[in-house]
Amino acid sequence: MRVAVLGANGQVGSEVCLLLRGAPGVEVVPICRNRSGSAFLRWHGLPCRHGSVADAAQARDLLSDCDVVANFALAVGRPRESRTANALLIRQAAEASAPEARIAYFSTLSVHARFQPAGSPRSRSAYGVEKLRCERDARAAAKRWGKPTWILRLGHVSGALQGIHHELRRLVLAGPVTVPEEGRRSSNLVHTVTVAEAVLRVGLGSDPPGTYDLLSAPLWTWRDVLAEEAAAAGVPLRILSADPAGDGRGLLRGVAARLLAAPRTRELALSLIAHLPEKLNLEAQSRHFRRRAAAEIAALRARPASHAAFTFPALEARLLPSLTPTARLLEEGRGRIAPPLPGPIGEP
Amino acid sequence: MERARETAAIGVIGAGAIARTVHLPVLTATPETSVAFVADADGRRAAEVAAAFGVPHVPLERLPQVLPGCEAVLLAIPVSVRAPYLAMLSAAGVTALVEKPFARTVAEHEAALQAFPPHRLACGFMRRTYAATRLARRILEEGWLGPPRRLRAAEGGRTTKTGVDASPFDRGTAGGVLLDLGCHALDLAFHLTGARGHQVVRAERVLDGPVDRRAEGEVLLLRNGEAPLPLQYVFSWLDPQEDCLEIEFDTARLRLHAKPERPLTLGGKNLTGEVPLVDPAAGATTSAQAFYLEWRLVLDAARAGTPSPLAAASCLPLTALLEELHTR
Repeated sequence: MRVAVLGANGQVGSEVCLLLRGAPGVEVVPICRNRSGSAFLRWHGLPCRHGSVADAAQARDLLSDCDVVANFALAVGRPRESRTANALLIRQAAEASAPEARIAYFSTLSVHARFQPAGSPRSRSAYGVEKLRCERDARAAAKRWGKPTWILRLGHVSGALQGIHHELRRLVLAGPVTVPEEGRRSSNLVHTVTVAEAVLRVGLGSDPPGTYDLLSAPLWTWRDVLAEEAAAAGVPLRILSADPAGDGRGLLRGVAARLLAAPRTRELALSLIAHLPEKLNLEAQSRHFRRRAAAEIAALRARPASHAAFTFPALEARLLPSLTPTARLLEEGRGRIAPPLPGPIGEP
Repeated sequence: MERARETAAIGVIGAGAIARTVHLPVLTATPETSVAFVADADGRRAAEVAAAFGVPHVPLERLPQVLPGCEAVLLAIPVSVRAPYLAMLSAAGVTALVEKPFARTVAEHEAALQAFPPHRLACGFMRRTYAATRLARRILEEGWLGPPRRLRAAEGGRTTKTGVDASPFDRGTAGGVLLDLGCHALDLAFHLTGARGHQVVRAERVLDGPVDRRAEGEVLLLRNGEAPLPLQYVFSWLDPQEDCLEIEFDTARLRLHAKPERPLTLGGKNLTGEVPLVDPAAGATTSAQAFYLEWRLVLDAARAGTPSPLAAASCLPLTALLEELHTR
């Protein structure tokens, strides 16, 4: 099985290339627009193809002998420019690939408006909107060119080369890690080893084409994720429960509280209270002390999560049914990345 | 979401400033605690304070009837009149949180310890819950800066807090600035260094009748298997002090400030200028937070059956030092 990887110089695409290299019967073909982009993979001894898939002629040269096209690419630039480039990449991947080729288009859970860290407005980010549009393009291209297509929505991606992996490792080493619900919440995290396996499952046609969420299987809680990091780091896992802030005040009460807290209002109130009976003074002071204590305790309990990813809501996930449990893949060492080759970077 | 804690019914004996301005606001501000009663030798004051917080008031003579309904009781009355209440709480099997200072003498301290299991008797040295204190303790325990070489404690000002009700010491009872103010920094010195004994090198006091208004001196803190650690102190209600506890290392110094909102600061031993070390998740950065954490520690320990970091037994070495400083 020859697997073309678009976006092979990206954070996820590059690690998936390195992991696919070790899979039996698989030839991985990283595709980068230039040698600068492919340097890292070539340093690891992985031959790359260079060219622009957005160009029809080049796309045929790059893709026509591949059985699977795994599209991790996300064009950057001005919104209009990147939108056009993404649409073109998706179209060319379907049009220029071999007639029997299967397409894996990698999207994101950010297409869900709910997939946001705590405190964010519940609306899709520009990234989510763009990826949702790309999904529609991928479905349309699949239909037009008759290419079976799997749209795989990635959550937080962890793996040896992924930023979140290093951040979590630092957290467990520093410990304790503050996580909502003591880490019992589903993590929405996928290990790159599972992403690589999903590419193979697409190539094998193990599951029907369609739209899936691609998360570690079965779903890992944050405690599972952190326990695995702690075990790998050789340290005990220490978890604290994060308490979300939750002001709880309505807009009007918030405005009123701010007005009352203003220095001028406070001075005015103090001079008026002095005319009231002592009993009322004591009650007013006691109420003030209690409110202040409640606010300060709430601030103390609003222990922020150690990582924003912990605060994303758990989503109902539709996984590829054929996936091997991620823990087993990791135990088998299939998530390991071999060190780069010594000496100069290889050609091509 | 963290599992909801069971609401603990707390009794409050003593309706003075510390109960009114801190404990009652904290205890009534969170669903984790409810106030079962407020009682005070001054029944009218207790009734007024209880009414102001919307909690019950009981006369002292009814305590034996209401204590069994409490999980814990705050004893916020002068140290000289606590003994019968401690006996009552012990008999009722109720956890006691006693305001500082815990006792005037080692004999008084030990008598109280014998009456309670270790997890049911605590002293309210709330500075132990400060974020700065917890961070400093970690730095010392883990040896980030090497071994400490010397401590300096200096606190006080020209007057005591004028917002506080009349100090019991002003009514002629023995004590004063050491018991009322100095005990905090001295407790931290023991708490942070793990010292369990002391040797007084020098002790001077400015007395105002039986009340000490200024205390200055040097003691050696004795630690198991380690060199004695010199501690210099000045506590005063007569002249302004720096209001901090300084821990000196070979090449650096840490400063803990008296106010919870002030961060721990780190400076070079011989250099001016300090940098704040901030770990807001470590503990309290306001007074209300400190008292809230104090209650959590006490209640959690009582429920778990293990002594809390505020266990009264942990401040016995401090009582021994204070007793000696008062009698020299």
